[in-house]
Amino acid sequence: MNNIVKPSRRFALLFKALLYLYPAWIFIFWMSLSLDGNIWMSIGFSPGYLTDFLSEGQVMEPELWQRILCFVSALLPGCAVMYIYSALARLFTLYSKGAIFEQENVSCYRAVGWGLIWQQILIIPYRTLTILIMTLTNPEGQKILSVTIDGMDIYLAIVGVMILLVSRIMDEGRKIHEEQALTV
Amino acid sequence: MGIVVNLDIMLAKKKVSSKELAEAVGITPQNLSILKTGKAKAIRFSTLDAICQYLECQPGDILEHREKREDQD
Repeated sequence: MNNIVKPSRRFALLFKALLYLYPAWIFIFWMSLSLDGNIWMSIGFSPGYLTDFLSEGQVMEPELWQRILCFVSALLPGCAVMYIYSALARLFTLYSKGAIFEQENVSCYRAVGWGLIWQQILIIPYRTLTILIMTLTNPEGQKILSVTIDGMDIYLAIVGVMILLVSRIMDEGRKIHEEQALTV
Repeated sequence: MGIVVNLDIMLAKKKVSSKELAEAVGITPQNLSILKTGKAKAIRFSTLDAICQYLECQPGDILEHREKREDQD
C-alpha cells in the first residue's frame, strides 16, 4: 500500500497546483503573445494552428481587447482541462488515503473521461473564435473564419471514451470490493 | 425480507457477549456487528461453523428465511 500512498500524495499536490497554474499560464500566454517572436513559440509550447497563422503574416499585432477575448475563449476548453485536473487531484487524494475501489474513485475516472471528450469538442469553437478575434483588425476581406479539427482531437476523444470504459471496470471492482467487505 | 439473522436472540439465550463470540470465532467485532445488523451480503461456511460450535446451535437457529411481502417491494 505504501507504493500507492506516497506517490499519490505527490500527484495529488501536482494536479492541485496545475489546476491553479493552468489558467494563469493561458493568461500569460495571451498577454505575452507577439508577432515578433514569443517565448512560448520559441520553446515549442504553443498551439500549432496559431503558430501557422502568425508565421504566414495573416494577423496583425493583437490589441489588449483581442488578447483578453482570446483568453476568455481559451477558457472554453480550459474549463474542461481544469475539471480534469480537479478530478485527478481528487482521485490521487483518495489513493493517498488508501481508497482504491470506492464509488468516489469511479466518479473521478468518469469525470476525467468526460472532461477529455468535452475538451476536444470545445477546442473547435475556441480555435475558430481565436482566429476570428485575431483577424478582426485586419482590412476588409482579410478577416478569417475557420473551423479546424486536428487528428489529435479525435485521438484524445477516443482516449476519453476508453477512460469511461475503464471507469465501468473500476465500478465492477468496487462491487466486488463491497461484497468482500460485507462478507463475514 | 429475505434472510434474517437472529444472532442477537441466540447471544441472549446463551448469555454470551458479542465481543466474546467475535474473539472465539476469529472475526472482528465490527464484522460481527455487520452480521447482527443484517448488513452482511454473505457469510462463510467456516464462520457459520465456528458460530454454531461456540453457541452449540444449528444454522437454522441463527438464520431464518422470511418471504418478501408485496408492499416491501
